[in-house]
Amino acid sequence: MWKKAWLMARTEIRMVFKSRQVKTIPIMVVIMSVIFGGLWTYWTLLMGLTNPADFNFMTSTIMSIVIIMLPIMLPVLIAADSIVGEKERHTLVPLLATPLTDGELLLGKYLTALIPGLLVAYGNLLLAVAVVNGIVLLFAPHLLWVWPDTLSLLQALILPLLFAFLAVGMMVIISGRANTVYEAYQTGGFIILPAMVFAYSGFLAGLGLNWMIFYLGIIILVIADFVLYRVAVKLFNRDNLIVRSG
Amino acid sequence: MTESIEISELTKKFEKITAVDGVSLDVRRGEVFGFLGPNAAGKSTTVKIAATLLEPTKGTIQVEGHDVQNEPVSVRAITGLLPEDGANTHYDRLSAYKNLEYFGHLYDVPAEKLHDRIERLLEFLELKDRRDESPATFSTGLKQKLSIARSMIHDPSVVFLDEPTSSLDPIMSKRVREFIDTQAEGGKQTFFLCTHLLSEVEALCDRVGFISRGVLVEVGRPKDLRRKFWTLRTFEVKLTDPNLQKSVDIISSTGLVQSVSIEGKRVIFEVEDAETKNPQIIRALMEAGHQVVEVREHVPDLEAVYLKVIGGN
Repeated sequence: MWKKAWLMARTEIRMVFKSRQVKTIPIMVVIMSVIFGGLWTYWTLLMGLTNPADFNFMTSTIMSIVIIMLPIMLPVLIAADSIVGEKERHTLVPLLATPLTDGELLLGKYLTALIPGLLVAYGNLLLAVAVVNGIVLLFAPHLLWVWPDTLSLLQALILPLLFAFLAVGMMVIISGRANTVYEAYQTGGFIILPAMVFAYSGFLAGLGLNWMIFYLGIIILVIADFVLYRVAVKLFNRDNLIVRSG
Repeated sequence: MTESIEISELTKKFEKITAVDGVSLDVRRGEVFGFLGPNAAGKSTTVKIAATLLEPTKGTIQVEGHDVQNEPVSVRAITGLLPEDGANTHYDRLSAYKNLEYFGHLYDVPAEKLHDRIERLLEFLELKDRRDESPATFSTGLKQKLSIARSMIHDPSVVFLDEPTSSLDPIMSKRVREFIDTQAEGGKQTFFLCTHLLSEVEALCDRVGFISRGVLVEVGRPKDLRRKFWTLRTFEVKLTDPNLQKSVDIISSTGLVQSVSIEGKRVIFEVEDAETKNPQIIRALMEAGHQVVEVREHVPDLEAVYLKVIGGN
């Protein structure tokens, strides 16, 4: 199962990165991360929040959105391009005629969307750590390596995967119903993503970040990911896809 | 088992429309079968069900003994598909070679064989010079050739071709027909062809099926269908005598023909049991002093049979 899915993902990743919209996202994420991370850190220090606990809380809350939520845009767009794009470009029929199982096909699509998203997320994490600590080194050296603490780091490593998985699952379901990439982009980019960002930031603002919230968040996300994947597999129907793609 | 494709009571409904209605049909291994019918007759829907892309509402299809609903992966592994509008089904972000390579991998073609097979197909279909270019830069004909190559990349036992030569020039159409003929010759591959080109069916197909409004109307060898729908045989006679009306009267007076008429500079007559009656007709003409230069039979082509069957339907 993995062999075929990986083969599919490898080829498709190469193809999706020829799309201008998809290529723009990593650049945008990096720029946002550098500018926003830098400015936010500088502003935090300027406000006099030089106590390690305060500084860590402020940076963790805002940077988690930049590091975790922004990179999710990429899997959302890739999933739209990779799934609905097949319909739009009429390449779906020959692909469905190959001996790929539904599971392999879906796994391939998930990997296509997840791998670049995670690479950007982790690359972005490294960059954000460098920018924040670079500014700290210049203006408040005693706060060096206060952020990211273990919890923030684990959050930045695990949550992008779980959120991206959730977003791709949603996109797979949406893509079965959307007929154009643009339609899927609109639904995914303008509805799912802001909804997730608001939910997540609200969650953090209301409850703060601590180990219990972290574990609870992971449990909720794992369950949501699993349920959505099952729904995506159940709703995946070749007959329906062929009929809808004309 | 000699049957390659077994279709039994196949029905496919799209909401209120019945696209395929109780079709039963067997295609033998190594056979080139032509599936003919007007637009929206149910040809492509049948092919899509056989290729496991659509699910039947009722009935079954077995491909090389594998049921399309219960063993779809096995069916897909041994079938090749050139879909309707196949020319526009390529990944434009990959080169022609990479398109074939990708599908070769998906069809589990061993790596050591894949390169040679791609090269052979590109060579045969005269695409070698364009192998590293994107199909987006190809003409419709070239794209169609690439689609044909893709459908054959895994050397499938059964190949479904929906309008294979529709956008090819006459020379390439001939080459594709030769290719299909060669492949089918040893009984190695079964071809199921949907086409509007009756001359193509006539040249290629061992048997044909006519489908109209989802119903299979006729199945048989072109020769047998001709015989079935043309019990009367038609002959044309070329004479030296310029007064053809006189010849018509003589033929008519024998009472052996069903009809007789003049067409251009020839006399045309329809007759049953030509082997017995034709010598008597010719003798009557010669005894009246008419010199017969040539007698030729009009063999109805498949188009005539098609029009009679589908038109009648």
